[in-house]
Amino acid sequence: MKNNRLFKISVAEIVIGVIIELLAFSGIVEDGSVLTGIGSGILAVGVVQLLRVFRMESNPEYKKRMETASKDERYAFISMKAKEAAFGIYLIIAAVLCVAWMLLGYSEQGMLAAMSICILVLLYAVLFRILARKY
Amino acid sequence: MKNRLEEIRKQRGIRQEELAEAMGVSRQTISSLENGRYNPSVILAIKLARYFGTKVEDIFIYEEEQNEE
Repeated sequence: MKNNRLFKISVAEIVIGVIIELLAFSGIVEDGSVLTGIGSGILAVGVVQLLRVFRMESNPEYKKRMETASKDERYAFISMKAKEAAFGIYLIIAAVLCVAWMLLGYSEQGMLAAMSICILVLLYAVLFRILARKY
Repeated sequence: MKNRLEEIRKQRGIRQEELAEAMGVSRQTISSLENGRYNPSVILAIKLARYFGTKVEDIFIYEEEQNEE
């Protein structure tokens, strides 16, 4: 199991999560609540992944299913479709929020939403050009 | 795109699970292929054709007038 890539990543995530949590509680940072949130998130992801690794080790049927799923082209296709839909939906939600916040006078939040749209669209354009050269 | 995958598979007496394992995909993928909900990659189509010892065109029937996604 020590050679398992997922095991190593899980342990690394748990260690990073614990370090961030310790930093948050040590008082080095003025407002530790953000760090606590980030640390908890990373820690939780690491623990869940580690549990998956243990389940895969103890249950060969589950391991086989997971390995097939990771190679399955339909799952990859579905994943790509889901990302595509999530991207489109996020843009619509951010645009609606941007307009609503601007109209309600929350210009800072509105600008933030507008910026996130700009960054995403810019990233899309850049990645499209890079991938168009590759394929 | 239509296909004769289910028909050919049943002719040979192969279960979806067996075919899925031989192709290195999930059983749901085979089921989706048979129902026409999912079109395979060229690689999977060739692997299926080789597995059954037929040509790709014998399994998958492309209809030009049909709207493709």
